[in-house]
Amino acid sequence: MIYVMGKYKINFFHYSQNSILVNWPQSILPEISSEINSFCKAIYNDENIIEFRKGYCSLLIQFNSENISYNRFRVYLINIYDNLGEIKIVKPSVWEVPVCYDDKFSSDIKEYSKKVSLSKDEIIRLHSSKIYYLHMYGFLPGFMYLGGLDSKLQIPRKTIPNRRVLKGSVAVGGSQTGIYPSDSPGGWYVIGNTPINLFDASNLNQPVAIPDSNYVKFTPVSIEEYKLIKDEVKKSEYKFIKREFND
Amino acid sequence: MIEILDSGYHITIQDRGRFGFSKFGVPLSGSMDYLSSNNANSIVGNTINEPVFEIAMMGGKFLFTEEVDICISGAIFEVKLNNNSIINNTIIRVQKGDVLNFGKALKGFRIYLAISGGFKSDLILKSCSYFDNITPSSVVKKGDRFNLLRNKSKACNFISNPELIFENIIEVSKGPEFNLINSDDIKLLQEQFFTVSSNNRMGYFFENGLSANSFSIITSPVIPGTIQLTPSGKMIALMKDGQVSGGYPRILQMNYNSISILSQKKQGDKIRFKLINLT
Repeated sequence: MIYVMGKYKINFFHYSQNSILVNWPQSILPEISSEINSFCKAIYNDENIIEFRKGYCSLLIQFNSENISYNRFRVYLINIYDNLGEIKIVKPSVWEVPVCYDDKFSSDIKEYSKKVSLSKDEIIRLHSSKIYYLHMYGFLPGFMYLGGLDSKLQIPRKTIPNRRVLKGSVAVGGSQTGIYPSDSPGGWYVIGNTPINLFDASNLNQPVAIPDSNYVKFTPVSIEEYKLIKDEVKKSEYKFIKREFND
Repeated sequence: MIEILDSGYHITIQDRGRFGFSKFGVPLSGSMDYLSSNNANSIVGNTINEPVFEIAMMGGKFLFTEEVDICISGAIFEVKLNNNSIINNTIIRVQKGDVLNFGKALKGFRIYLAISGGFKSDLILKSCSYFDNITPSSVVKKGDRFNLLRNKSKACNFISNPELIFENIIEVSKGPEFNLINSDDIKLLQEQFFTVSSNNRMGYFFENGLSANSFSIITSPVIPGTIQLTPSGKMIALMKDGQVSGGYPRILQMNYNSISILSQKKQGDKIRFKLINLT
């Protein structure tokens, strides 16, 4: 797939002694996230760059301030951005994530169901029929920021967060849905659980299961299927189901 | 070998941090007070990326089963080698069977123990820094054993004034959302002392703050040293284990030295912010 870079107006902010914040227009859009990811790939091996952190519509780049000044680095980035032109990008895929919405796992579904005025079946149908764009990782190692939640499922997150949300919990909060890759405190409503692992610290090259700029779809599974998949994951035999994304 | 006889209040292993994985949501980690860990490593002739023990608040007992040079740097603790008091920022030769015993922090909060030539610790995602769900354990435990490495590294010289970390002025530059705060709050920020209410390796929290507000931003990147403004008006200073992105306005950014200075503060300590321009 060919993508023409540089169609947005970006601006820069001197964020710290050795970092620069690059801002795209402040909107949550797959097009913007995709461009940020492509820009990251273009500068990935640059000797001046120590690392970068992503937001929905911004990128924070830590640079080697011993080699290059802020102003020179800013001009350098502008030149790269303006001259990227047409780049080849991999066509996104839709990665299926099995989710068991059984009462055993959906600890918050009763409360959530009341708040959104929808039955449990309707919540599952709406949640698992959409595809979600993986904008970026953040919050916890392997936590995916997924955009595209149905407006009927959007309510403010809990006022008092849970002290411990279990690993694999599939939850909704605000306009987002996500999966807790490890046990953690959390303020979203838990409506299911996935048996698959999303983060593996022993995998140096690709510690996350799903690359960003792809889509995620939740596939409802029964508790029996959940257990079978969990066994496959344990034996490292689980294979993701993914298909091509068609607009 | 080093054996942990007592794991104290909170002991971790830290190096410079886990670079290159924040795009997967992995925090930087690394020594909270890098000035002091650099001092400890430099004094024993290590590189500054050599893992050290970070010992917070109180406690910790280390048994050495062989002779080696060590250095402690950072907070002033009650520390005894066998029955003798030892001091910071100097090479100390420990003998086989010696026990290094940390008591309470008398001044500051975190002390670093560097071992000449290093010790063996698992390298995970290119760093030995402990972090929950990345390394097998998030703290050093009683009974843990570490083999000495005896690396012959090129000595580095990153020695700073050991008193610097006990300052109470925190140098900050304007964050990208600084302009959201009103002029009264800007004045308050620069004139008032802020009292630390609690802290951990993820962040520092303060008792007093600025005006309550309803600001929020689209989830955006943050780094260690970013100071966020919460809706209640209280500020959170993100530290080395802080998450990689957040939705609170980023009003200030601490510089490197100030992160070290704040790392040595504890509940009840007071600090002041000094606004500086980045050059």
